[in-house]
Amino acid sequence: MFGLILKDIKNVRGQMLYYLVVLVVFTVVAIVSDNIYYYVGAIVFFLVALPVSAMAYDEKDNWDKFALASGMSRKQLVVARYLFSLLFYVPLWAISFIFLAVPGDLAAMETLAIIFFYGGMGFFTADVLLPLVFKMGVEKARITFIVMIVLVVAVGAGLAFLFNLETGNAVLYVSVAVFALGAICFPVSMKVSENIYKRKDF
Amino acid sequence: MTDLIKIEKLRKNFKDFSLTDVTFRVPQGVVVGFIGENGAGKSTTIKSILGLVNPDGGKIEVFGKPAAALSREDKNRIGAVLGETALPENLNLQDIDGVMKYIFTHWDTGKFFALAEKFALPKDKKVKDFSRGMRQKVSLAVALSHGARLLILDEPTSGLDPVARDEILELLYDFMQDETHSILISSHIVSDLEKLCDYIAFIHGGRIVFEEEKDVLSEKYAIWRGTYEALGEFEPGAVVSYMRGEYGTSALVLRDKMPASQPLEHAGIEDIMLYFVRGGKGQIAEVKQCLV
Repeated sequence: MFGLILKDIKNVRGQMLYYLVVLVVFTVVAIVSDNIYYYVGAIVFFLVALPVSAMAYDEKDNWDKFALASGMSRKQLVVARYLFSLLFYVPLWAISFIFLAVPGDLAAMETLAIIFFYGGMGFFTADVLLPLVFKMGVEKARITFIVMIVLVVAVGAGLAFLFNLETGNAVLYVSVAVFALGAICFPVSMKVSENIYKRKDF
Repeated sequence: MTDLIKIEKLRKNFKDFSLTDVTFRVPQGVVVGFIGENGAGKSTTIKSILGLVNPDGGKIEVFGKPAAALSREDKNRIGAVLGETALPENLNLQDIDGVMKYIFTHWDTGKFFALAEKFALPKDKKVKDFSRGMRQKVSLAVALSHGARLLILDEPTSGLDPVARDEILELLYDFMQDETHSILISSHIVSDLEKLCDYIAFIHGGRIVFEEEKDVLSEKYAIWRGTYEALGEFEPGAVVSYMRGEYGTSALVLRDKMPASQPLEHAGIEDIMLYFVRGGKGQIAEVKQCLV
């Protein structure tokens, strides 16, 4: 399993540098503009972009054929990809709590709610997209990827609107619930992918 | 003799192609050449052995165990080269070594880099910048660097020049010095198989036509040349298949059924394959096949 994840890291390390630069820019913009949406939006994008890029390389390289022929199980290949997606997402999401310590508008209940809400949206994006990539391949699932990102942005705009209407704890509770649901669906999504992948011929 | 691979009545149905009752074996200490035209079912059979496709029926045993029940340790004892390069092309050889350490329990870094040096493969260059031949060599170097007992090679020499092919064949000879080893190799370059193989399994249209010892094939079959009318004079079953051309008729015949007076030519593996496959398909030559 470690070998599979190591291979993914080595495969996308060039892109990771690029993403790091983008993330730094978005973080600075979020702090300067007192708007955490820039940061959390970016990490949701990275959550799916990195594993999808790694899977695109694997598809091009016929890596799965090699790995399966070499003793890796189908389950290991699926689980490794899910773990790879969490490898960067969880630390980046955890870092977003630091925004609460930034003096100014960011140190508010609204920021906490956004962190949880987008944390959940990130999981939901992965929960939906990864089984589709296993089913259809990266190219065909790319449209879904774009749709999901647009959806996340739209839902984010909806959330911002909600904050204008509701100032109590209700939005925070909803956000925590979204996060919990997204996280709970993660292993379910992995199981669905395993079932799809089990039947696949190479 | 122990069989490292034993396939019985393997079936796999696709929309426009089926493997039907494929049966053959790869005994220990033996090189089996797997031949057949494009789309005959070679790769599907190999993928079935390696667990890359799910068969619809039949039985595959590797190392005496059902293929589906092979452990990671068992599969680590199989070195596979799968036609096109199936390695991360964005990585260089040092990266590949770093990854393979965790894929194979008996990965041998020293051997991998020794083979890379033998093949003049640069360590720091990404695989995607290698030529096709170099990529094939990387695949083979990986297959030979993790203590495999069985090599399953799908077109390992395709895209290689004769010198590189010879280097690879030499490595395969070395591999076979250990009598517990075996190789199943498919290739379109029949001359390579003629040099290397002990047995030939021939697949056509998803069915095994024969599996024979290579030396038995040349004892059994021969090429006869003459006129179309003369064919009718031979005993029934002597002619396996024939081709009628502008300048006469040639036939694949069974040596032991032919009159001693008839001059016969040696039938190479390629000739045998050609006569079996082209039956009824020739455009220039009229081809008729009467299988024995």
